[in-house]
Amino acid sequence: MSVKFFESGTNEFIIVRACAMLMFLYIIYLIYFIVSTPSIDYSLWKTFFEGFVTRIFSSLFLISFAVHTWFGTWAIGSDYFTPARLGDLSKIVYSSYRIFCFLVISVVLIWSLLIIW
Amino acid sequence: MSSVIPVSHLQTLRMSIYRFDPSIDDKPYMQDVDIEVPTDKDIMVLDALHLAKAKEPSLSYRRSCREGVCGSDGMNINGKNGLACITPLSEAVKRNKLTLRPMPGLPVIRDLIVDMKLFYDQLEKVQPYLITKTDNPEKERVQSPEEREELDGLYECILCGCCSTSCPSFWWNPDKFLGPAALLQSWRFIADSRDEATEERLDDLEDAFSLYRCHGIMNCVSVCPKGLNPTEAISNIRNKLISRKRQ
Repeated sequence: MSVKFFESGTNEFIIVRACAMLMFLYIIYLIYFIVSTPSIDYSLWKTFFEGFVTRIFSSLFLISFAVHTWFGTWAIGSDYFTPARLGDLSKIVYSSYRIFCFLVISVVLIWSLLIIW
Repeated sequence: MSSVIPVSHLQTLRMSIYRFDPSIDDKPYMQDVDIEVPTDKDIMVLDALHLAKAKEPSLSYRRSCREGVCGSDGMNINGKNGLACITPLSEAVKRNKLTLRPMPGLPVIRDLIVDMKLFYDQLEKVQPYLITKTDNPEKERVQSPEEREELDGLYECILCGCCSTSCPSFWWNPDKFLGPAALLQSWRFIADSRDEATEERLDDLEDAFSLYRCHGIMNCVSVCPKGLNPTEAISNIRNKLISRKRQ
């Protein structure tokens, strides 16, 4: 039995963990900045986030966050919105839920990237 | 038959038992049954069930070997799955009350008896038997003591269903997620040096549900009456799938 790229559990597992690792590194990066800077004011904070490296890193974090959330919400939806629980309604409830998730994730991602850049 | 226990050595235990007979009842209900249990020795939950059945003859449950080998009396004992025959009352009873329900997640046939079809269907999918492609050797397929040791902690599964029916991922997707018991058996044959279908077995687990629905909650490990570790088996299969990807 061969499965397509996005239907592969192994691919999903690796992608989710890679995103989690990237988000973890980003949090470490932020903590390092906060801890290593004696007194942070608005201008310093602004300068930090306008730096090229921080912008790239923030963008990667946001993309990872979006991907992680997409897979996470898929797992929740496919657990709870099943035919066994919702009968004939399951398909429409599940599809509506995924569209809702897609819209929210997309809006948050695009909006955040616009703010960063 | 054992000798009669003096009344002074008995105490009353309230059992709350799940009852449902689809031919009579519209819906399930919990029935309280008071039984007298000895204070000077520990008896098993199955013994307590026998005492309850003496009072309520219509009470139904599966049992056979009464020593933790056949795996037929798996049930939910005070909220935790286990085998009634090897669970002592001293361990199970909380606040002098014993609540017994059927194993969760499977359809109830009657009282504490569940329909195990979904469970066995998933087991069947992992082909729990040795698959070989090469010609049969003259005598037998040999295995070194070290290779045989790889199967320790895997072959002992008695298929009672306690693990799979305590797993939320199995509750939600019992038709797609194989469940800890079937996956333990899958690893038992992947790890077997004599088996020659590892690649096919791994291919069958590559989708997003069969194996990857395990979120490592470890309820299976917590309830296994034989002390086995299905989560570790699942993790071993996952590692094999990932390392295969790298090649």
